[in-house]
Order: sequence, then structure tokens, then C-alpha cells
Amino acid sequence: MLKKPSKLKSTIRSKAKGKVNIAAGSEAMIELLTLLFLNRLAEEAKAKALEEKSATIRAHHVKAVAKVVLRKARG
Amino acid sequence: MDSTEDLTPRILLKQILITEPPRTPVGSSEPQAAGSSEPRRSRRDAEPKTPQNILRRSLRNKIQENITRKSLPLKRRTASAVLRQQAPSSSMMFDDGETPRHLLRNILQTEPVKSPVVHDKVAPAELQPPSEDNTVTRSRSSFELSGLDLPDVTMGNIASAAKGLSRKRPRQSLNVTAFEKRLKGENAAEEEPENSIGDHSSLSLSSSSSLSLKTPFVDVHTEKRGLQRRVSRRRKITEEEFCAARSKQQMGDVSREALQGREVGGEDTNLAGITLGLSKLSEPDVTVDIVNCQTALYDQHDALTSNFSITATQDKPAVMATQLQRDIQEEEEHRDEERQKSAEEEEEVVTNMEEDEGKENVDKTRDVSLKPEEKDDAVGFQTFDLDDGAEAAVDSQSEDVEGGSEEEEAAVGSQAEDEGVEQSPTEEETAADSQSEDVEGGSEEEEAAVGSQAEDEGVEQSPTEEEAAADSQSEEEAAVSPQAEDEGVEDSPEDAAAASPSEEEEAAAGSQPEDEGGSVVGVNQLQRDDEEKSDGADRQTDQDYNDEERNQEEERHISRRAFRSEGGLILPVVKATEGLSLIKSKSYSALGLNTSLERIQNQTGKPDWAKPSLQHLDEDSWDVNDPADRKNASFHLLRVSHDAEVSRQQEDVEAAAEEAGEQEEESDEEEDDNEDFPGKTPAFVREKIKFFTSSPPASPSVSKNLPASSASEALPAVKPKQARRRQTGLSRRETVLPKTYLTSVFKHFAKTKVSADVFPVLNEIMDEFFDRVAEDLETYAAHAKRKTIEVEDVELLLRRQGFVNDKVPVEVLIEKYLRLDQRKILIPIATSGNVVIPKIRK
Repeated sequence: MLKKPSKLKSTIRSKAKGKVNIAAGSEAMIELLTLLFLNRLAEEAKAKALEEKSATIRAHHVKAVAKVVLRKARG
Repeated sequence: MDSTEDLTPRILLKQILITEPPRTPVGSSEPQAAGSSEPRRSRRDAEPKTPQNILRRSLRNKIQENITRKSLPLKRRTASAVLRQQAPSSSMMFDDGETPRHLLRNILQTEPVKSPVVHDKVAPAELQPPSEDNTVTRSRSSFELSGLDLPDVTMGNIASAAKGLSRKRPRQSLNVTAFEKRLKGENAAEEEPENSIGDHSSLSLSSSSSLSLKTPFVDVHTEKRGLQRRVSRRRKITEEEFCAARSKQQMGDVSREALQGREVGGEDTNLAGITLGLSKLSEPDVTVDIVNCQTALYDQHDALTSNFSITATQDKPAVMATQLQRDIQEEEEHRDEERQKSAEEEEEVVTNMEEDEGKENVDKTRDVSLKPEEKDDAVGFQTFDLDDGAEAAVDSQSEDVEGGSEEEEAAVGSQAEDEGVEQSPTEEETAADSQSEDVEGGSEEEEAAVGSQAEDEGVEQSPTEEEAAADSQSEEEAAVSPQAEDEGVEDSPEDAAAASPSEEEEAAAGSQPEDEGGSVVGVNQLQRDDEEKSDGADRQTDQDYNDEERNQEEERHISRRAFRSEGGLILPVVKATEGLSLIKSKSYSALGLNTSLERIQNQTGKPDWAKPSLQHLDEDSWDVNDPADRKNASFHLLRVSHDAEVSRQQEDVEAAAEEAGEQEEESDEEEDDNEDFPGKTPAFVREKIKFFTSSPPASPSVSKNLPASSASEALPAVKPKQARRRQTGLSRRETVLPKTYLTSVFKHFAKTKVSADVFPVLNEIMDEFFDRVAEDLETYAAHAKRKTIEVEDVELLLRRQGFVNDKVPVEVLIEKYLRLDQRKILIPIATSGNVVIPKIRK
């Protein structure tokens, strides 16, 4: 957050099917998107970890909630 | 008479008032009195005939009569009678008092309101004494009353008070009796009211005025007195009243009970309903508990399901892999790809290993169900190999394919690991052994052509071993390699044999002899495999990648060496293994697998040039491998299926080499199988390897074999590049987001401790996420007929995701999460001089 994520633009561009340009402002917005997504993911994972009475978030916690969060975060 | 008696003084007063005109008290007394009399008379004379007048006259006459007869009722009447009688006699006083108003007023003030019982009794008692003095007292009272208002009242009061006082004592006694009588007479329907009533009544009796309860005057006094006396009264009463009250209560209780009973019944039903509801509530709790309980298993299931899903999704590639397996040469190529897809392979290896483990534990059904096609092919191919080996090979292929297709290597690896851990505590032992064996077998095979055959065998044997091998490979990297080398040289033939027995042991299949070849080394692997299993996915996946790559290389070398000579292969294999410690483990497993693959490959069509050589090698290798396999079989048994996968890979490579050189198609198949399992297209890799090895039959292989390490390293370097080109996106290990950034952000949002094994999962998730985001944004831009993704596109996406709605505008989110430099771009800021930053373009 405090640091700019690198290669976001290139990542999106690479993943896009066709040729797309990304405006300057939209790159910031994409950052916002990722942050929101990560926030939601972290919250869900934390809740899942607490559900198992574990103070530490483990991989299987994240994996279990990932599918739901991904489904929610589709446009 | 009687009718007149019934008349209350009020009624009389009314009549009088109506008839008599209002007169002043004093001044107009005489004239009024006279006048009154006269007008009365005149009135009478004037209106004698009116019925009212007649009634009045009659009433008055009756009153006069009553006066003579009765006291109380006559009192009032006497007053009126006195008034009339004495009207002429007394002038002033009488006149003043004669005015019916005054008289009646006095009467009212003095005379108590009739009360039901007491007055009757008291009245007669009072009547009697006053009867004598009726005229006198009444006259007095009336006289007194009539004299002055105030004194009349007071006198009247005094008189009445005196009478009341006089009456008090007798009244008191009477009161008690009266109370009792009342109580008896009246049911104790309301004890309290009775008490109160009694109190009031007694008080009223005691009071001069003897007013009823309802009169305010009395109430005040009576209340006070009642309060004072209530306690005592109550005590006395309670005894009797209680009986009545009890009876009533009992009645009430019965009724209440009846009601309650009904209510209870209803309550019961309600309770039942409540219980039902509770049960319903508990059910979800149970389910929640179940879910919670299952959470422990959830991951496992997830892993299983993931693997299953992986296999399901990869059926096609698995089928492809099977086809490739049939082609020995293709396997070699696939091996190359496998190395490149090491990441994928890792997963596959893990999954394969797990599957192998399952197979080893007679969980063939599972694998079989997963890959029926492969099994069929494998079974068809396998002659020596038992079902396990074929299955292992098939599974390895499928697994490899699966792993290749999957992008989430780590996840799969972790899942596979979890599954592996879950599945086989015993398998671990056997897997470890098998892995060690496979490793050994693998290295050995590389070293020697025989070893290559053994690899084929080992491939067949250790589809399960591969899994174990994969796990163990990482651990085995260094230590195993030297051991493998040494053992491999010697046990290369043995490995083939050992591999098969090991497979047998593992999977109760003919793969054991093959595995044995690699099982020797696999022992070490097994031990490490166990450790590996406990380790996180990253390690193994990484190691698997390395192992796979190296195995591929080794396999290639092995295959090449196989071409030259069995013995020659052994040596270069040894050297190769030295350089590729990691691969050794895989190679060992591959050896075991290769052996199985050989069998498979024999059945499948292999390149002609490879076939004869392979056949030779196979035969020789089989002969040699058998003892070796037997030796290694024990090791392979211990091995985890993971090794099998790796070994498959190795075997594929080796098989390719063998095919090119000596081994039969089976080995190639095995190699292909092995390769397919860990990598996406191990068969391709194997084929590649085979091609490579077959193309330079002798000299290049020799030249390459000698500088085993360098050559091995060079070759994989070339092949991975090619493989990477083929692979897109998933194959690259790079994460879409820098790991540090991702971890820091996630930790910041999580606000709790985050374990390190989360981040590979996170990488996969973010990869998936970016895929979706890019697709959506592109769609939005295209919809707007633009080629550039604009801010509004992203904003639309945010809105559709639900982050932005009417309540939460975009700007809020921007301000919340983004840095200032970003915010400046997005939200215009007005500065001095009417300058807005950034410039709003319109």
C-alpha cells in the first residue's frame, strides 16, 4: 500500500486478450481494486482462522475462502 | 302512610322548595312566616284543586302522622311537622327554622343517610328513646336548628354528636355484631371490601353523623379510625372471612387450575414447539459443529477434491499424456517440457505421489476412477508390471499432465502434500522406502543403460514411488545423489529389478522389481520423503521442480547412455546424477517408473529405432533389473508415491534414453508416464528427450555423458526455454505481484499473524483475480469502443463488484486506500487562483 505495486500495468496488459492501453488514472484505480480485493480476502481468511480458533492465518484458511471471495469479486 | 314513609327528606324538601318561595332568614321571617302561612293558605286556597297541591297536603298530613309514630323517618317529617305544628307558635325562631329549607337542611345535616342494617336496628333503638322525646328533642333539634344556621348545625351536630356519642358505645357493641351479621349475612365475597366496609360502617356508626361509607366526611374519620382499628378488626374478621375467602379461593383456584391446566397444555405444546425450534436451532449448530469438525478434514478434502478436480480437468491432457507415453521419444521431449513445467510437475508429482501412495495402499480404485483411460492403456501396455505399475504410470502421466495444466502449483503441491500426509502414515514409510529406492534406482538408471531399463521398470513400479520420490527428492538432493550414484552404478540393473518388487510391495504390482532398482536409493529418499511430506508445499514444489528438471536431464543422459552401452550408461549416469542431485531422486523414482514404463512402452508403439534398442535393453535390463529391483523393491515400497512421479519423470527421460539406446518401448512409456505425471506434458518432454537422445545415438551422447553435469545442465537449460515458450502464463514461476508487496499488504489487512505458507496460495489467487480483472476491464473498454482502459471502466467494475454503491462513492474508497499521489490524479484538488489539479478536461 505504501509502496507502489510493480508491474501492475504490465500484468494487466499481458493478461488482456487484445491490445489495451491503460490510462494513468486507471492504473491507480486498478491498485484500488487489488487493495479492496486483498482486504476482503484477508478479512474472510481471518474470520475463517478465528472460526478454527487459530490466531494465525494459514494457507488452508485462505484457500477455503478464496473461492467465495473470487466469486464475489467478479464483474 | 307507607308511601309517605318511603319518602326521603330530600323528596320532601324538593316538594317544599317547589311550593314555598325562598325567603330571607331573619327579616322576612315574620312576614314571611305570616306571609308564608298566608300564601300557603292562599296557595292552598288558591290552588286547592291542583293534584300537586292535593298530594302535598296529603303528604303533609301523612308526615304529621308519621311524626307521631316514628322517630327517624319522622324526624325529618317531624321537623316538617314541627314546622307546621309549631309554625304558628314560634314565630321568630320557628319562622327562621320553619322555612322548609332550613328545616330540611338541618335534617339533612343531622339525619344520617339510611344504611341497610345498622340503621334499621339502630334506628328502632334510637327511635325508641327519642320517640319519647321526639317532639322535645326533635323540636329542640329542629328548634335549635331552625334558630340559627350555624348553631343549628352545630346544635344539630352536637345533638347528633351527642346522640352519636351516646350511641357510640352501644353502637360499638352493635357494630361488632353488625359486622358479624353483615359478614354472615353477606358472603365473604369480598373480605377486604367487607372489612373496609365494616370498618367504615363501624366508624360511620361510631361517628355522630353515622354516614355511610360513601359520604366524604365520614370517610375521612372513618378511614383514620378504620386504619387504626383495621388490624384488630381484621384479626377478628380474618378468621371468619378466611373461611369464606378460602372457599372462594378454592373455587377460584379450581377454576384457575383448570385454566392453568389448559394453559399448561398449551405451554407444553409451546414448549414442544420451542424444543422443536431449539432442535432446529441445534441442528444448525450441529451442522456448524460438523462443519467445524470437518474443517480439520476440510483441507484434506479440499486437497483431495482439488486433486480430483485437477485430474478431472486434466483428463484430456492426461489422455494426451497417455498417448504420449506410448511414444517413447515423445516422452523425452516431454521431459524437457517437464523440466520447464517443473512447477506444474511438482504438483503433479505431489499428486502423483499421493496417488501412488494410494495405489500402494491398494487405493487403486481411486486412481483408477480418476483415470480410467489411462489405466486401460496402462493395463493394456503392462505385461510385467502389475496393475499398480501401470496405474502408477498412468497416474503419473495424468498427474503430470494435470500438474502441467494447473497453474497453482504450490496449492496443488500443498494439497497433494496434505493428501499425502493424510493418506499414508504407513504409506510414508513404504513411500519413503520406495522413494529411496526410486531415487537410487533413478540415479542408477541414469548411470547405466540397465539403470535406464530399471528406470522404466521403476517408472512402472513407482507411479506411487514418484510421489514419494518427489517428496523425498527435495530432501535427497545432496545426500541421496552420492548414494544414488554409488548404488546406482551397482544397482542399476538391480534397480530395475528392485524397482519392480518395490512397486509390487508398494502397489502390490509388478512394478516392484523395477522399483527395486531405484529402491536402494529410495530408502534414503523415503526417510527424506517423510520429512518432505511434513514440509510445506513450497519446499517440495521447488524441490520437485528442481528434481524434475534434473531428473529429466538425468533421464536424458541415461537414455543417451543407454544407447551406448549398459555399462557405459551406468557411469555417465553416475556422473549425471552427481551433477543433478535433485534429479536423482526423481530419476530413482523414474527408474522405478521407467521399468514400469518399459513394460507399458513395450506394448505401446515406440519408435522403431528405439524399440530394438529398448528391447535389448529391456530384456537385459529386466534380467539385471530383476535382482536389483527386488532389492530396491523393498525400498520402493517404503517410498511415497511422490517419488514415483518423479521417478516416472526420470524414467521417462531414462526410458527415452533407453529406448534410443536399449530400452524397449515400455521404458519410454514409463518415462512418458513419469514425465507426464509431474509435468504438464511429460510425454512431450519425454519424447523430446528421446528425440534428443536418439538423434545423437552414440557420439553426442558419449560426449555429453562425459561432462555429465555440464551437459546435463546445458540440456535442461535449453529444454526449459523451449518448454517455457510453449507454456504461457501459468508455467512461469513469477508471481503477478511482488511477493513482498503482496505479503505486506495482506498482513496489513489481516491484522493477525499470517503464516508463511499462505503466500503461494495468495499468488495463485491474485493470478486468478488479475485474469478476471483484465478480462472485465477489456470488455468494458471494448463496449465503449475504446482501446484504452479508463478510470470510468474501473469505476464501473468497482460498482459491479459491490464496493461502490449509492452509499459509498468512489471517492471515499480512493481516499481510504490510495496514496496521495494517486489520489491527486483521480480527485481534482482546487488550489488557489482557481486552479484545479489535475486539469479537468471537458
